[in-house]
Amino acid sequence: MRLGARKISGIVWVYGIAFVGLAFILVSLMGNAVGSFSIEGDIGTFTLSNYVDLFKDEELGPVTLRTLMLGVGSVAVMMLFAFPFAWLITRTDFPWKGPLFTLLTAKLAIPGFITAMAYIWLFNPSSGLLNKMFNATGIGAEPIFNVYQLSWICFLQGIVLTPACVFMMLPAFRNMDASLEEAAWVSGVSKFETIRRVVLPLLGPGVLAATLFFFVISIEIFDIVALIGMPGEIEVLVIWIFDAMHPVMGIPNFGLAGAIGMLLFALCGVAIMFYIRMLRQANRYAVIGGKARRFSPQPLGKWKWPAVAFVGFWVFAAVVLPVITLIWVALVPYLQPFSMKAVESMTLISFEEALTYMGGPLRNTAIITVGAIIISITLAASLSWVVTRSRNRAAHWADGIVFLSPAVPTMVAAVAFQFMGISLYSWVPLYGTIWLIAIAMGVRMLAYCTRTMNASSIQIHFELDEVARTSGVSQLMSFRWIFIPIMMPAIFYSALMVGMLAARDLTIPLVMNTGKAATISTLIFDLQSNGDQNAAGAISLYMIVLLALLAVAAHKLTGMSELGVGAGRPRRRKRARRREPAPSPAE
Amino acid sequence: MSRSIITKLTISAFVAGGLLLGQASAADLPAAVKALIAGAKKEGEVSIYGRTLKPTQISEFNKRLNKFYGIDVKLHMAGGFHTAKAAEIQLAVKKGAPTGIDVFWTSYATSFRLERAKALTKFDWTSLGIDPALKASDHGVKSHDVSLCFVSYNTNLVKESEAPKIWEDLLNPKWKGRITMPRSPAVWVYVTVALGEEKSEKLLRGLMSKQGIKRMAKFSDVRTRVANGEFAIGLGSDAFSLIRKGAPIKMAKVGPMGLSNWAFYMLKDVQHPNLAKLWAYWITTPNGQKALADIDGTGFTTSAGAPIAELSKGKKIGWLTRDYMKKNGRRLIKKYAKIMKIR
Repeated sequence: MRLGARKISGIVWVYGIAFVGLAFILVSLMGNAVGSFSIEGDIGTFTLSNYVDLFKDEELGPVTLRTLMLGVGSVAVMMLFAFPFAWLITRTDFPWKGPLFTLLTAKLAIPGFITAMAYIWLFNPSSGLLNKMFNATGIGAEPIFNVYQLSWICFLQGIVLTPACVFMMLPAFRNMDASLEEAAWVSGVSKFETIRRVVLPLLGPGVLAATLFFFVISIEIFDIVALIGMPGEIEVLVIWIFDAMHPVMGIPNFGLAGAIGMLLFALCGVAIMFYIRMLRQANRYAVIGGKARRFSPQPLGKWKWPAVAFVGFWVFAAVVLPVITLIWVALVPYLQPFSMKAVESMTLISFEEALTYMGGPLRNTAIITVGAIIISITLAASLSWVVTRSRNRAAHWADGIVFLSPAVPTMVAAVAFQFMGISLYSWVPLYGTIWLIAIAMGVRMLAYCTRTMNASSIQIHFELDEVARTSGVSQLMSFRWIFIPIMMPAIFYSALMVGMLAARDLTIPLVMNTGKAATISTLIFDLQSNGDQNAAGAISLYMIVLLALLAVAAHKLTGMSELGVGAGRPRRRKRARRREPAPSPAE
Repeated sequence: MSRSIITKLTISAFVAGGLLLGQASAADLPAAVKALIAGAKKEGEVSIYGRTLKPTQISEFNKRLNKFYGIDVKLHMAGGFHTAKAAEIQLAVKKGAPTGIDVFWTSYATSFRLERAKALTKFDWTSLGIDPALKASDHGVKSHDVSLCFVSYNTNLVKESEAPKIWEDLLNPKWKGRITMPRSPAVWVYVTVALGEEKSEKLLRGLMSKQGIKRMAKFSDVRTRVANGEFAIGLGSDAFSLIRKGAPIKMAKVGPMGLSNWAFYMLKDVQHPNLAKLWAYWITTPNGQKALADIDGTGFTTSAGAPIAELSKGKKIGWLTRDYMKKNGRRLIKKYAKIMKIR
């Protein structure tokens, strides 16, 4: 009996950490909900006027519909690239898996607005380079491209979100039982049919989680909408949130922003219910049992070069064009389109200046990034175990709450965390410190990490837990020695994403910084605001190189570079054997 | 004489000259200001929130501040979303959590909220010998003049003779689809004090309906897009920093001008009051105004060398005062936001 009590108390830590994660998530959700019932900036004063104002707005219908189109369009473009990329990397003999991984990582470090800027230069109707070239042919006077359209925003958001989506789906692709695919193609089923009838159904939860998660993200992110949607008069809900939260004069209207956030919750709610239903049927997707399952990657054969061309298109559109733009921005004294005069004014001075600026902000960014990774991975691993392994129905609802959190506008979330820090200051003096920024960032990424981990965890057959239990292994030990090792790819890719996004997130440090914790992103913001786009561009390039190198190094060091099915597993199994827990006296 | 000796002598002369200048400035200080210096040295640092500046600008301000008083202190400066920061400070003051900020450098609109929340320290700045005209309520002291309704143009696309001279020029059909401005009704509160409410409303409606004006998220986007030639004319943002870099952009001398002030406000939990006062005092002096003009391109319309002084020369100015803002600000913001279809 005493032994049983000890086993139960061990796993309580995992539940406890998961509870802390949930509580942090509730800070932003409650901040949004309370804000939505408050008068403008006076949090806590009850009113329904925000909802009344929102729902009596005659533009609400068209704007909501446009927002849905933005979400669906962005996710469609993203999945067009992300699903094939994940499949090529993990299940095939695609020749350039390593470079593709590096480029996907580098893309994460390129700010979204730089991608938008590159396309504005090329395709804006008044001075876009391609429009000018077309006009020079004399065929027509009217511009043939107009970047200020919803379809362009969807395309750009889609290609920008592709790497994050690939990294979210990779662990599930890696874990998938290869024997099912092998069985299909030795039976003469074509590759396309194998994907459609074997791969896709087995990866259902992972693909659905990614689709839903990025749907929420694509209706909430602002940088591309700001640069293309605003001048193009493409009103979507995130522009309304911006209007409410960024008045140059007066009070930020947390109330209206909160009410719009609640509307976003509602839009996401239906999809999330569907996801929870899928989680309940987790057993149908379990493919990881106790048996070894190495296999040879599928040969692409005649599809090799079309696959290379397909990847090449994305690389050109999503990486090459923005990086060329960044290099150009860094080399010329002020932001300007290409011309011979501009070429003559090119200088490397911004690269020298950038180095003198980066010291302190780089240190702060490193602290925040490492802190955010530790916080998000610790909380997410616990939450994911509770949600997918505890067989507790309430846990699925907890996961739904986590899933809702990206719908909270980032600025509302940052303000909510700042308010939490102030309210708890007498007990935990975190307000005004860099650690509160790290917590806010880590929690902000929880939904991403738990989606990634849940998709992998759902593939682990419950028989493994049952075998462990009947062998007398405690739940905590099976969490540590079965769950965590199998989840390592998911943990790695989650950490990678958190690291990349924390290193370049602007809103949270900008809202929460009191002046002594400048980060690389706030430095870039300061430089841009003062017309020093060239130094800002140089810093962005340094960061892209630095983050890509770190990611590739981490990839190699952790064994994740052995891309493909079963890769990296033998090493983990050896470690697991070495540290096998001592047999329980109960045996 | 060898070149190295000449170089050394030149450097020594500059250093000695610089020291003399610094001492001379400190020696001329009013007694009330001098009395703050010993305490300021002990405080060692001061945190000022408000202007978005780059690191070289902050270190240059720091250097000149130290030189002016003959001290060696650390200046922390940060910018961001003023309105959100004011909301945060309001709660921090209520809960007794330290804000970490000594001086809030901001507009009248933000200061109202801080005043209402009792988040500011009352201080009679004239006791330091500052001109009473620079007082901003019982709390603040004016630092420089600002406008959110500057007009700039791309010199490659617009000849100086064609650039707008009066506000109504913006409605000329030749600018259709070629003007950009920030998505902020605040611009139009400034235009109102320049032009009057009726004319401003008519102008805004005309720009929205006839000129197909393109709106940007940030003020800095306006100057960037004008400088890179996507738009011919920008309304709202100044372009002083880009002009200094040689970008093909100029400020149009559109009159009348709408101007207001920014001011320094010490927060209730100011941790470094001596340095906070010294900072504010210094900026109001000719030496401080020169620093503002040199480093940040800002200043009073009366300050020699400030770009805004040059721009406003001979122009009629409408002032957005604290009282006007208090009485009309909220109403005008709502009205213009509606015309601009901003929630």
